[in-house]
Amino acid sequence: MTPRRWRRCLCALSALGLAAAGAVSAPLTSAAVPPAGALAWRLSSTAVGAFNAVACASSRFCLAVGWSTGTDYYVTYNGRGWSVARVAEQYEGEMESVSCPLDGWCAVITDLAAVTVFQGGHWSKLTTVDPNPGPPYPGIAAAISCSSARYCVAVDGQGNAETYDGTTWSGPRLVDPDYPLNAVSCAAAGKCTAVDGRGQVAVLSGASWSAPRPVDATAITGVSCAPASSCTAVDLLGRAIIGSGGRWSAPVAIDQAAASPLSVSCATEATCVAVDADGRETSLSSGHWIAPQVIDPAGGLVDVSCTPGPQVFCAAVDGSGDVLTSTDAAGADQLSGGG
Amino acid sequence: MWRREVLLCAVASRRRPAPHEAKQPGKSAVGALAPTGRARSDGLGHIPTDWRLLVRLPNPVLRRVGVAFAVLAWTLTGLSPASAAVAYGSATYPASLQFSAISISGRGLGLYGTATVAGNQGVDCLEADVDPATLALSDVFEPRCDDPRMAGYPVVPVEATVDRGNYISVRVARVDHATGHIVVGPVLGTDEDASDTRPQWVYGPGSLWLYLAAPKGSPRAGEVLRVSEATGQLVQAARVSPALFRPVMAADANGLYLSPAVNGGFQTGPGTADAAIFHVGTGATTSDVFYRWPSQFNGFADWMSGYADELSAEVCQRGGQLLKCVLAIFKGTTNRPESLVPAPNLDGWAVGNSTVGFFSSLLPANQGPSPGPTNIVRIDPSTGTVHRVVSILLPSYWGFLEPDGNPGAALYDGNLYLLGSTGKANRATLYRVPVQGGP
Repeated sequence: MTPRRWRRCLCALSALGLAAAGAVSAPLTSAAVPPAGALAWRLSSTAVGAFNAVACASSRFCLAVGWSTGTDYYVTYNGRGWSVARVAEQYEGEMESVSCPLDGWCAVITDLAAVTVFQGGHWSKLTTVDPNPGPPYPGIAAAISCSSARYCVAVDGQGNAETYDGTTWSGPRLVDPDYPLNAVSCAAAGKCTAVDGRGQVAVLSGASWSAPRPVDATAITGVSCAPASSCTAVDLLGRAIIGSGGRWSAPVAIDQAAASPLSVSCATEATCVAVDADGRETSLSSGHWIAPQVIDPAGGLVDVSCTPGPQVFCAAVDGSGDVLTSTDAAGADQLSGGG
Repeated sequence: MWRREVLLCAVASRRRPAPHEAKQPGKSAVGALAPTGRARSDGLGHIPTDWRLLVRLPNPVLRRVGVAFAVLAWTLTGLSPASAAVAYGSATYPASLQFSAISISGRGLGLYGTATVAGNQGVDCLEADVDPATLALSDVFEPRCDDPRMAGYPVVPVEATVDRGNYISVRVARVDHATGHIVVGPVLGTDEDASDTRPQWVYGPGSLWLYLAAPKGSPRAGEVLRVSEATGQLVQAARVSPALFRPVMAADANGLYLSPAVNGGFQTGPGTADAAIFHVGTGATTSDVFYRWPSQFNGFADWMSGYADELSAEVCQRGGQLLKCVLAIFKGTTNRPESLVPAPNLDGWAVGNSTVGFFSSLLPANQGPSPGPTNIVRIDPSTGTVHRVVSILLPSYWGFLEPDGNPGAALYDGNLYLLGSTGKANRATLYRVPVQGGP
């Protein structure tokens, strides 16, 4: 069996398995012919009411978290399909952000700045990393990024950052006194970039955070840093900026028609994917952003995560309980090494 | 520094009606005066061709028909015909930018609200500067939700749900002038969190006035807390008895005024049966009755507005199927109205003062739930006469005032700015209406 046939077979088995589990998976008719260089996507519906975040460690493992009727749920991806939704509720806020540096190992932070680790199919007890993560209403922005199972950084709406060393979390450290930190991305231990609501970036080098520095004229909503030295950030007006070596490019419109907020994930320095609240995806490929394509007709895409490999693999989630995975041109889930 | 330059809203406590709460269906009486088209703009507020002239009918016959409709409209609604053609502009912003209020500060005209942002950030607060002429946005930022600069004030209340959601604690945030950073002060009070009792506030000259209708530990009387805009410190606490639930509030240089809202009320006691407006004077420790109705009061304040040392209020008395409303204007510390004239029952909000007049909205008589024009009107402060300024075609009825008193309407630089939402996605739409005599 050729690899492609094998993938098709896996895909068929996956579809059968998901159907049995109550999930419905289908290629996107609207994205059947993606623009040249763009990814193709497969959409699956789950029993989760709305997703908040997704993270993939590889094309064989992703974790997505969300909620239904006030309860936290999660689903996992195993390279073939998505699991049924399971309860992850631990009663200390809503799961807001997830980072998975390894297959089967993820850290999740709630909007009340409590962190739990998913490992071996089980959740650890919550650890509150910031007792006062931000203004109490309308909630708190919180994000987490882990470069390994021994190094994570969390940021919150008070402009605080906390660091995990594999054993304990450091106390809150004020990085940005005036604006909420919206997102963080760690390329390696002691090498992270955080972005804020004022269009500023703060950089962690070792144990020291730089002062926030303006790089954009509007709020930055997402950032993703590749293991090399570059980071890609997206802003509230559908623009992207790229930072490398401490210098940031001017904002470039990548999704201006809707001007809706984006989430971005870079598999490599040259390959990034951004998704928006209108259900569209745009990709950075070979230095150029491909025109946005609708990959989720329901709209409301909230997060995306991409991993490198022989083929870039990405997963995205929306606010309606749908999960999307990138596929190859034949419609099979993209697998590195045959899965 | 952060003093508002214009007259902000009366604090009517009526909630914005949901679509299913739209007013009764029927025939519109002002169709001939409707705009010829909706003003539109792209997502960032560029509006090169948005202006529409009203009452600009193409030939003499139609013009006469238009005049006839105008007279009919005036007959049916009590409006005076619009005295001149008025142009208005609008801009509709991206659905992700959920602006809910207008700010006026040293930076100029602005909008603020919340941004539903992607992924792991939940809901953040949002602010943007607005070009007063083109309505284009700039400097779209996500500040901390407790940043008072977002709303253009020196101080802002910060709420937190406590006691398993049964109560709300209130603190006050300010910007420390020495460091430029936001400082959140101690808990000033805790109020019951029920559907019609929760903290309310209004700004007066130099002060933030907080009202707790059912403070924890003292449910039988309300509590007023005054915070200095200069220091952020609590400078006055007063007991309000009887407690008013969901009052209409306004503040001027002489204190805070409270009156029952159309859906609010208070328990009457000795000496309060005819009370229409209560008052907490600057420095007082208790409330008193400020304005008494000539007979037993069974009504509400449709809106109230404080400006300098002037209080303006539209007070309505129920009488069977009839509603009798008056516009009362008080100046200085006297509780005798300087002006008291009959007025129509408006839509629960107004901006302005006795110098420039008051601006509000009125649905045409028998307005149906389908899209139709809403009349933006000016109330003559000396006569109570209502003149239509413009009719704006809206997708459905809405008020221009948020329930927490955040203004969805403001006068600025000779224009009336109105903020509403449009379409299924509730995209924020800002209207600009030139008004004569506005500041």
